[in-house]
Amino acid sequence: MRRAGPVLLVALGLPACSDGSAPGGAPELGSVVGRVAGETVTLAEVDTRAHGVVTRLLGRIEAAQQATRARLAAERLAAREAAGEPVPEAWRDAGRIALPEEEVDAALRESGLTADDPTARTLVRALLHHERLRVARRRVAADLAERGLVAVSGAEIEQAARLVLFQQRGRIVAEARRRFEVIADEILLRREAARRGSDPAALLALVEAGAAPVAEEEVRRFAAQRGAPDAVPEGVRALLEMRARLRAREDLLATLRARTPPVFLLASPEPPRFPMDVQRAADAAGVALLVVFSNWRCQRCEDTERVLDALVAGPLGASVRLVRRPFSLAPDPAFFADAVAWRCVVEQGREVAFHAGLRELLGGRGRSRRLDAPVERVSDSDALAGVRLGRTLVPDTRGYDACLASAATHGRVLGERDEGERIGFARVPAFLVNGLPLVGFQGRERLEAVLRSEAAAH
Amino acid sequence: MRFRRFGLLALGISLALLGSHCGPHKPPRLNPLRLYAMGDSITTGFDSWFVGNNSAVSWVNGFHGFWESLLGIPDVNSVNQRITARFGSSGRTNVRAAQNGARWDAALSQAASVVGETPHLVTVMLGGNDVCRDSIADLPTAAEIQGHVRTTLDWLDAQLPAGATVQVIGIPDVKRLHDVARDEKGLLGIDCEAIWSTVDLGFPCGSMLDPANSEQDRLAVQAMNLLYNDVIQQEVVLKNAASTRVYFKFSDAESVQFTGDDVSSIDCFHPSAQGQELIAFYAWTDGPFGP
Repeated sequence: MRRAGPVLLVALGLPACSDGSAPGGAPELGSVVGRVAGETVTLAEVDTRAHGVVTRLLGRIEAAQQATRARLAAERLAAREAAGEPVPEAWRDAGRIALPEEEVDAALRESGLTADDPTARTLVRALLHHERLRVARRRVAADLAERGLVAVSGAEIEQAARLVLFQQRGRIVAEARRRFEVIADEILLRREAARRGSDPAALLALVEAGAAPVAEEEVRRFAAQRGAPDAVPEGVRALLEMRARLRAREDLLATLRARTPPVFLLASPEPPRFPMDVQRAADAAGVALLVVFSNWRCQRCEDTERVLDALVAGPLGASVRLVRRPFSLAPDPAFFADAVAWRCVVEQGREVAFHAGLRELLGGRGRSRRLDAPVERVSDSDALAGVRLGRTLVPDTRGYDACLASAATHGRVLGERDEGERIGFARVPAFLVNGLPLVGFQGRERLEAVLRSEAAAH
Repeated sequence: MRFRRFGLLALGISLALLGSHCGPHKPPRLNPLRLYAMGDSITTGFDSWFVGNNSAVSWVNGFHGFWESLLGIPDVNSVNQRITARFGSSGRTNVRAAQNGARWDAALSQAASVVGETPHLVTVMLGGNDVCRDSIADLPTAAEIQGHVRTTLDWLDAQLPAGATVQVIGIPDVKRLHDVARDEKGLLGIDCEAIWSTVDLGFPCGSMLDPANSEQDRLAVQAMNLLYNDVIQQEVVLKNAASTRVYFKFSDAESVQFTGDDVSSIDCFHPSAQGQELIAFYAWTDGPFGP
């Protein structure tokens, strides 16, 4: 995976330098990425140190671009097929999915579902068929796009993969910043040492030697304060001495940085947005739209629910419209069954009771826990817990059962999953705040800060 | 700025170089058909994909078959898979002795079962939980780590079949994990600080992740992290020079430069499936059987 040459050049062809050091074109090796006490730090210097990480991140960008190209090509071919236009034979072949009953049985067994339960069988068959079809068609579409038989432009890929690309490019800039900060410290130390007629190593040794000695009382107090009365005094002393030397060194660097602050010039890329259809209604009502892609079983999903409970009950509650997308990228039958049941109870207006009931039934599996605590697994018997719960809540059970078995319902749930994938969500929970995506667990303070920032911007 | 280590390692390397020229002759190295993995929650794949242990995405024991493919579980191309790809599936075993929460002081008990398993390749990746204690005051001394490593390697040397290999993976730079995970929030990513704020409720690695820690605390823990790696490396290098039966190899994990998506989105602490893939790549390419 090692690339020859400066990888930051490739990476930084994407986010631009903010000081105009590479105006209107690709940066050059001599481009300035930062300034320290009148000295410049070039792209080449940072590149040398960040080469391995940036190479890997570039590899991930390329992988994301390839996957997006396959997805877009598949969507294009599916649209052509739906419009009755001619499509390649390979595409039609990929659509002929044979799903042997033994595979459905195996999936039922693995999910802890009863093979003779017709609802379970219907749901698992629908899920497996969708996954098989998706994988087979993506593979064919990737090949057709590679051979130029389906046109997908770079601009389309850039647009469609913008969340993933934003994050990977942001990581590249963050890596460049980390390396720049190390270089900046080296420059500051070198200059300070020269000013004192010394060299950096001797200067650091002198500073560290000046660190205050660690007294016995300090060792005892530290162990007691940190809740470690049984800690080995010898170890605590070594740690405190090390910390004192580090503090002396950091104090010196902080002084030098304050005297001549290093300036990092690479700009982070702009965050993408994903406006949804429901956004207009929220805008008209003067509230922020918070779309939550989550489910009832993932780790951190119950934590998320508690954050949302507090947020809705708090001062911002009245200015937020919450929209749920029961979601999991993992094609797990239990997640799928919950999401289908959710859609079917929504049709009969029982979503609030269902949501609360399923949280209760699953016993808060998504809560944080100690590392050494036994992990609660969804037991074999409750993969259909949501389906059964829904049946107890709806007034029209026949309509509910018909909804559970309906290909249209399955398609809608799977479509919402695909919608999350199109945004670039690869994990749950995930959020859109007025179209601004947030990936992974978010604390209440963070969500409220984003909501306030959105309110101020509008 | 990272704390610099001192001359301990240089001594070990010098002795090893001496040993490599003058050391005893060893029997031919066995192909690694029988794999035995010692370690902690990194090796069990804890929280790497689903919550809890994820054997399929473990960097060393991982596998990828029909069900993993069906469920979209990532293929990390583990050491186990690479062994099968290179040496075939005949005679293969894939044993996990790793336990969540294990520290170096548990290494000897994890090594006990090698007597029955007769492995050809033993991987050891321990030390993350020595760096990651509830409080920085609980960190063991380098001498304590050194003692556990020495005892464990002596036992393995005596019990493994002649020609077996022991590959010891160093401790990843836990502070880097902290830094890159913290930066994810600025990239519309996970709010790790909110997760770490549950340290008081018992989340692991308070020594590094507790928000009450100062940057000096974290730098001090990082310095201990690097120091542990120095003594582990020294012991492995010396043991390899001294052993007449077994090959011992140290692989540096500090140079595994994790990025934000290599960290678990479940707990912001363990490697994600991508992080596991990265460790597998480094371990295999640095090991005696790859690339």
